[in-house]
Amino acid sequence: MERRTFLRIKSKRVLQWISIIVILTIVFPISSSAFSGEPLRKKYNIKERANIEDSLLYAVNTRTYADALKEYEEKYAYPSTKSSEVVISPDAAKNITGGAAKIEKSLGSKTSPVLLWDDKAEGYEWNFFIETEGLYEVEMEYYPLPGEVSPIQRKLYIDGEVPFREAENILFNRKWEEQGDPFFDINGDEVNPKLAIVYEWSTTKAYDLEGFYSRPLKFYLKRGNHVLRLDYISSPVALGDIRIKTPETTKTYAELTADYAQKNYKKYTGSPLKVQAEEALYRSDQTIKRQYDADPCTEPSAESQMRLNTLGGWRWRNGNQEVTWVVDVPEDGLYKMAFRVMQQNGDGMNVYRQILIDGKVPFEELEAYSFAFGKNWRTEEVGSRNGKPYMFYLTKGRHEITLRIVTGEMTSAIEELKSCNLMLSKTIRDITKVTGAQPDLNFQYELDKKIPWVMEDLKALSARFKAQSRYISDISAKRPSFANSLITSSEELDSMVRYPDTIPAKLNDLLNMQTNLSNWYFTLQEQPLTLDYLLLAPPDGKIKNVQSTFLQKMKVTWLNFIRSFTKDYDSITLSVDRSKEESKNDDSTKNERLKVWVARGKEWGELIQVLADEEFTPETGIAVDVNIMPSGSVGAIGNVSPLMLSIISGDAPDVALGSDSQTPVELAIRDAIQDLKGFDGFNEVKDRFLPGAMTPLQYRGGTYALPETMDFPILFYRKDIMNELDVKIPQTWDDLYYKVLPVLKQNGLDFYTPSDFSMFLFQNGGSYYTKNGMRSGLDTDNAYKAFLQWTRNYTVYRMATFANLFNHFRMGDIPMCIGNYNDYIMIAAAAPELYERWDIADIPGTVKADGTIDRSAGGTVTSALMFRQTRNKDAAWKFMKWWTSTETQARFAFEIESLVGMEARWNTANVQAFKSLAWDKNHLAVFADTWKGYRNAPNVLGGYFTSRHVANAWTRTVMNNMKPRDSLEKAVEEINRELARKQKEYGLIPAEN
Amino acid sequence: MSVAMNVNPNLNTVNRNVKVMRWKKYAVGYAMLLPFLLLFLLFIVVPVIWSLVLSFTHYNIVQPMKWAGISNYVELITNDDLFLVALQNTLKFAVISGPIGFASSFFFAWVINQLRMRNLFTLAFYAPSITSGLAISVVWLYLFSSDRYGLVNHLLLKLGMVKDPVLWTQDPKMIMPLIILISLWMSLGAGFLTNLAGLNNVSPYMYEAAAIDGVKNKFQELIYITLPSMKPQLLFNSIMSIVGSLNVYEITVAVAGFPSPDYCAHTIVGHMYDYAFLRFELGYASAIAFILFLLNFSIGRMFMKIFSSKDE
Repeated sequence: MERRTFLRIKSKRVLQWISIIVILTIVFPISSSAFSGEPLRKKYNIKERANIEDSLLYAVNTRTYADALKEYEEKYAYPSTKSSEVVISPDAAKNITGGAAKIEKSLGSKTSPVLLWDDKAEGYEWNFFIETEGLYEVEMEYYPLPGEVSPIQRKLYIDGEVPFREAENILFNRKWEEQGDPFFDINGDEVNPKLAIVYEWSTTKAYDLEGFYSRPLKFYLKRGNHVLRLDYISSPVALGDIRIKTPETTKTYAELTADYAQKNYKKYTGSPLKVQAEEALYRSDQTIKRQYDADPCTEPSAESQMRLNTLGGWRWRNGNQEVTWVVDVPEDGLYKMAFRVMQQNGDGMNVYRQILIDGKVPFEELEAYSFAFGKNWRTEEVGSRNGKPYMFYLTKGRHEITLRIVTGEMTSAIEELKSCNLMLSKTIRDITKVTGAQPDLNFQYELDKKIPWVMEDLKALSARFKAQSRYISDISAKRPSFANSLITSSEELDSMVRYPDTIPAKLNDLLNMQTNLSNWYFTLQEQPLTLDYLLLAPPDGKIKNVQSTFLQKMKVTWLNFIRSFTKDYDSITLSVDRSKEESKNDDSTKNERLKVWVARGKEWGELIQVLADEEFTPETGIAVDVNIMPSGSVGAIGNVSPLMLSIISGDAPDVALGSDSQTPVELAIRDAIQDLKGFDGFNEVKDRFLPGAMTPLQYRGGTYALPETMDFPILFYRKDIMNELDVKIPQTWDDLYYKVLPVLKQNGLDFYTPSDFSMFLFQNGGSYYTKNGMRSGLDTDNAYKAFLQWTRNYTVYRMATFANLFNHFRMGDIPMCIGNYNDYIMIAAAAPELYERWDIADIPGTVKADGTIDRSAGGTVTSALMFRQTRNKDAAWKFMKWWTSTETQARFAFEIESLVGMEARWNTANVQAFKSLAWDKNHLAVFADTWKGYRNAPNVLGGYFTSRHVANAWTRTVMNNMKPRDSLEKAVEEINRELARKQKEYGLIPAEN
Repeated sequence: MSVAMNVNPNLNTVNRNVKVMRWKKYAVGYAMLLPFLLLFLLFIVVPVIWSLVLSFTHYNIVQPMKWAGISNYVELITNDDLFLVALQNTLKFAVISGPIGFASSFFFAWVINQLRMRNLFTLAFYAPSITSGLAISVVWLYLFSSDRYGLVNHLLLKLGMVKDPVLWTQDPKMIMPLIILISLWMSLGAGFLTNLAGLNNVSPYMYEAAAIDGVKNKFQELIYITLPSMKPQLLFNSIMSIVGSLNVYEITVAVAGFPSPDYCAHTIVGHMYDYAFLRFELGYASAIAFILFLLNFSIGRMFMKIFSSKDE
């Protein structure tokens, strides 16, 4: 009886759905063909684009500066204003949330009032009056405030709105300088000195963040009163005067040479001046460090040791990053400038640098000077395209030469690619509206009749691709492979236009094309350049092009090869002298040295060593020797790890970092790990972490490790697709089963969750073990309910059992899925085409009796542990305390990310440190919500049988159709038997006989 | 007498000299063998004996060992259901993949030996064996990914042969065949090379003589000349393939993970690994190892009996 009503309900629902689909299929072609008569040019007219209802664009401010500038010029044909300037004093600032502005009488070298601005103030406003209508630049005096090291950014509003996308991020470049000279490690290799922020006043104009525009941003202002508003984005800063100025004009080189002739400057005739690039005065980012280059002609020559003899390279590639050098010019006169450079990253594209002398671009040609691609080092004289070197007039004395990254001629291509990408993605969605995500290849959809405008779009795209390909190869020294790919894509589009019936089969190609476009969009922005030295030379002299010969290179290669036999690659300890010297600072030291194993990548290990040398050793007098181990080698589960061997031989390290979540307890059971509970300050240390992250590291009242990183599940969804389907984010599993899943399935889409039992068990109120951990807790009703739900996901709801989340999410056929932290990083870092098109939310939960939603779930942790054998336990504890502290973790996270990139973002288990990273605000809120339900299974003696037999039970039920009850009972029986067996072995329960 | 008196001491010295000389003659040989013998002793004999000793103890690597008597063996033989599963899986694997691998390596060697561009084919067949197992499994798992986008799945779906993607590496019914397939492909190379060498060794005069004696076709040649001349290679291959099959483990982990779904690819070595490094019961694991050693040894002896001809 019950079954019948259920069926009826079900069939009713199905009927509903069918009727909806029928209506949709009738309505769609009609409604979309309403666009078809629209001329293309009008449809993609930039000014009207904002009006097009496009789910892709809803969140993004699409008006670019280029659009805005064009509009200013067309609409207002602005008059060339006489140079004028409005100075806004910082003390006139009004806090937008109504609080008081923090004004200081003086700061640093500045004696007039300044505005101190940290993250407590959301934004400030200033009123000003403009005399004559026209375009203006905004110039600001600023002084970085201590406390944070991330870039200083603000959002700029004029009269209550952000005038264009670029104004959403206004960057105030920091200045970093080296603290002392480079020093040597025990291998005799050079090590970068520490960098520190220079605290002093600087002046900057508002530029765009990516360096697309070589000149400062211009804002159109009518005559009258205006409001300038800045909003806090990141890092505290002190602001001085803000000046609204008319743009300065830069002379062309031709004009300038006329000046030279008129003023009768004489040419410099002395010997050339050389500045080594690695001895830069300032750099805008901490990541721009001295680099090693093995070329024999690079100065100073490396021989077989590592000499940090160059600067830049891959670390110096993002828009607006700048480096400043200082030259002492011996006499007034005309000089020519040359750089020894190499640019071998990327595939043949030029890179651009703005060249500034004393903070000013001397003439127009240097606003975006191009360095051609070339696989070898070369000495390049700064000159015009036809090879004539430019002359620079310099007065006697100290001058600053700055190179700043801009994208120069690449900008138009970058903007065009982006706009092509938007058009392509709309086209794809137009097509899938007719064909669905998985088209029936045996059906002729007649796309050219149903959606004829798509053919036009494809044609237009093809033409634009061809044009860009031509443009890119014209401005590059070597034809980049990217230009060829554009041609291939364009030909593919042409063939689709010619044979519209092949389009459904080529849907994947279109999607790939979209991914490629997005990737290129980002690659084109990268502008790496390696510098060896710069020269100021007499204009008439000849500069030798310094390139190494084949034999020279051979020699270096061989020397390096020979040295590789004796070099100690694992040890990254600094030279003994230095660490001794440091520990002398503290009288109480008896030259304690801690041996620390780090089972992480080389960069991670090196950074830990550097941080320890800089902070921990001076503070405590305890020297630290970091040894980098292969990942997995400080775990004891599943192999004969070096850690295991070291314990047996009595030669274990003092502390091991990067272990997993089972090793601490497994070894603790066997009495090899130190219980941390008794150490001083343990309770404070414990509170740094989520309780759920500590659970797996505890055993029978002891705590045997501290968590380093944690993982947690997150719900990912595609904003664009969810919008289109009009699906709300499920709050509970029932929402998912009854509201979301049917819609997804109807549209040929799917939902994916990794096969994880914990989530369901915890949310249904179950637990893996009984209170004392002696028996399995899976024989309860709740556990059975959880198991049933888990297996029904596959047997009833037919969710994908196995899927490569990253690929499917990008493709969009699994537009909603549960993943973990790694997936988050992957999607954020490696799926640029999804930018702004995806979001995260709390995972679905289960409604409890009191109406609240239980979203309990867990994730693995990595851990730091100490051994019973450790001789100096207090020193080891101090190190662990230091390492897991909020300051250290935050600094480590920041530095490793700037060193390796976004993909290395450190998911520290220290909650405060985690929050201090540069997260998207909304995403962080989701994480914080997830942490509320963060729970992990404890490790017990013989506990490895639990995950194994739960998985087996799943296999039996889902794959072999065994009854869930029987399957789970069998698992419980196996688990309990093993638990008892182990408990007997270790004497927790008496043996039977 | 006097002659005899004279001779006797001489005879003794001659005898002694002969002994010394014989010893000297062998001593050089033994001296040359010594490095190997030492290493063999140190790395093969001692560990085998040590593991035999360990198999009578409880030992968890970290803490000192405790004497256990024969309880490990008793437990293993009477109480360990899983060992039976492992034994069954291993034998299943060995019975299928051993003979097929053995026969096909001979067959391919025989065929290719008669082709042109032999070296090219040889390289193609041998390449999988010299490539690392990890690299191989990456390729195969790419082909047999359980994902809808896995190559084989994609093809099957496209051809309409399956409705849902086949879960190659999760479905217990699919895992064993897949493992056998991959390991056949991987293990073919070594045996193939030996067989090829053996085929080259067969004297062409024998075929000529046989032709005169009335052998009519290739198959008669194969049965009456080629196979009997290749007994040593066949013996070598059969032992290698049986040892390889009984010790199958890495490939099962690469394909199905460890532990495999519902123990469907649990092998003896896997069982040993489970006890040694997941449960830290080295004593028990040693007992398994010793049983495996006995199994290997006895089956090896059996093949020796079959293939060693009495007339040699």
